[in-house]
Amino acid sequence: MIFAIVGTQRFPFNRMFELIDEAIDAGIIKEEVVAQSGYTEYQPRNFTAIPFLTQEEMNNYVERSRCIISHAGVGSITNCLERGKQVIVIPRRKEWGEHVDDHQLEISKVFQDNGYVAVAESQAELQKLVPSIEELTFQPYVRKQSDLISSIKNYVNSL
Amino acid sequence: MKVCLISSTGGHFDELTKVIPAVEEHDYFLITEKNKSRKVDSSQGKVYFLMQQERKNAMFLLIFMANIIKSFFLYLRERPKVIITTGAGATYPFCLIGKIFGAKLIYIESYAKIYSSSATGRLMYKISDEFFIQWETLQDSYPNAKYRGALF
Repeated sequence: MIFAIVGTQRFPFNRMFELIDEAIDAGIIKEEVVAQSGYTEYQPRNFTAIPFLTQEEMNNYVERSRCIISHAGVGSITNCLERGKQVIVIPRRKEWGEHVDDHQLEISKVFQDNGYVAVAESQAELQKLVPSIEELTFQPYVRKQSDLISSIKNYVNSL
Repeated sequence: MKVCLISSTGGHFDELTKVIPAVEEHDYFLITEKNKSRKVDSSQGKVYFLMQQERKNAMFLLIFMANIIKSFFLYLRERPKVIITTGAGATYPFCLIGKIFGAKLIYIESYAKIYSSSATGRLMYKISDEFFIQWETLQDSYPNAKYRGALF
């Protein structure tokens, strides 16, 4: 199974669902696809889209999936990586009204450069990645050492 | 000490929940945006809701005004000594009201911003008591910000 995640932004992300529909039409994706659709209005022809999911329901779909196709939301991506899943990221773009700016491009690039995810920005890239994702090697996602929480804690306790 | 953790929905809220361990020994509560595709788990503590606002939405001004009024009443009801936020825009009125009434503000710029500052970050930079960035690459945009690692 493939689970597709577009997040909870008010902006629709129709393009991602169109890409998946086209990949199913082309016979590239043959397995079941379930999507968390949020505010994306596009009605998929070939797969199920569920607008409202709790975190627990999301996690269940992630666990059951072979591969995830996700917008480049940090929470969505890291949640899948921490469950050891292979993630194809499609960044939301400002120019097509998919987000307020292009920060998802930056996030995609950093996660790709670190070897955590694969990025697809076109139908050709998605169709190449989906069948071969198991052959790719990804780096295990390890949270880096951070003093941010203790710094916040120390500051609050000093007041 | 009463602490308020406030953020909008989506990734901002994911980041906010990661800050809870820093304040769990205090009397804390959460404020986030109501979002029908995202149910908030009440086991994370007391939660209040603002309306979901996005600055490219046609109804933005109306929702923003409603959120300012709601923020004001929420502030008077809880009167937190510390306000911690991970953005975005919907949290700004509450932070500004808190600042006027003497609360300390802690802002954490989103992990999703790597090379350029955010609109909320630029506003909060002027009023925050502590301002954290999660990427060193942002130090040029916010010279006085502190880099102490990331939430993810």
